[in-house]
Amino acid sequence: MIELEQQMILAARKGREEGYQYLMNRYGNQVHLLVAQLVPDIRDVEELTQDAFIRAFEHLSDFNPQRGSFCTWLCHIAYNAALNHMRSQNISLLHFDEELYPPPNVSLWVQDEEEKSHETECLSLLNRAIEHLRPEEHALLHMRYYEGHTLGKIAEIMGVAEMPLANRLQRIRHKLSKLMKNEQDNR
Amino acid sequence: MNKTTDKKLDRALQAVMHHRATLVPKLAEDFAEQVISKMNARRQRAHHYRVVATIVSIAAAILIGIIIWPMKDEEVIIRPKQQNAMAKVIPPEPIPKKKVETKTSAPRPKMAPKHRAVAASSVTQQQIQHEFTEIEITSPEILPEPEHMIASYYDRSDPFLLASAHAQDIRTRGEQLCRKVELIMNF
Repeated sequence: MIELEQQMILAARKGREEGYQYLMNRYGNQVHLLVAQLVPDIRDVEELTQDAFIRAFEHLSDFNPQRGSFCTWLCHIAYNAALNHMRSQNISLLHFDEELYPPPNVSLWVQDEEEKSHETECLSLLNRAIEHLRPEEHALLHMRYYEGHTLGKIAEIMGVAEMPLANRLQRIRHKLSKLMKNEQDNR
Repeated sequence: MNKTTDKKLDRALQAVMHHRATLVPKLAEDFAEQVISKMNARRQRAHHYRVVATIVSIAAAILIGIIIWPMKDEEVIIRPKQQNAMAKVIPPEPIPKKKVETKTSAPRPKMAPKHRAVAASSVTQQQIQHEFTEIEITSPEILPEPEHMIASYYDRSDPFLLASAHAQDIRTRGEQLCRKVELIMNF
């Protein structure tokens, strides 16, 4: 698989379309989802994803496989592009519509009725608490809990050191717990 | 936060982030084609700009040629700049012996010894002149400062011109020194 990817990267470096196609089919969704965590408008997300790929293809000669995987490098480009866009648009908070992003249906993994209602309540609170996070924090949670990336890989993508990132993640979790508790007390 | 709460939060975060990821609109099916066509368009535009830039520079060169061609038989007098007005090499002026002897603008000569307490009013101009002449010969005269040298008038951007001027300066200094030595020996 890695060999095939390297061959395709080489092909893309030579300007062959099959190389571009392969890389886009393989990482398109991943980059798209990452950008979507940072940018609220879906049209901008599509545009930024395209730009990230174009920038990566135009600078393929700068990619060094010994320094990290292609996926990390590409995500780093996309993350920076999205962050720059977000700063230029002055977006500090993502306003997710709860109708668009309802809490997950817990009945898929919880059978007991009592537990189901508790779990639903908990996820609903968490879903709302996430809306209070900044886009970078949102992206960090996405990479950690959806993509399942290691902290090292996330640090490379975000262009920060690993240790502060771990502290940051811990702070986000505290913040979420606090927000959930406040919401519960207000009810 | 204890470990159980930590694990619970982890699980809840995973569930919410997975759920949110499924709600993000999918990437367009023709995404790869869009990116490739966008890239080709960019390349064509860059090529177009290169061609236009080349055409403009060739046209400018032709235009300059057309303007200069009728003037090819005319004598063009290039006047040196004000600071380069002394650009031609000046032959050193022979310094008359008498002038050197009576020169009073040399570095401040040593005053006469203090033990000769003489009233200022009683010293005649001839006596002063005599003493000055004596000290003048025994003390070395300071050579001209670099700003008075020929090389300082030259355009510093032309190394060959500057080097020849420096050579001329050195020769002048040498000749001056020779005359000085002769003067001392003859005294």
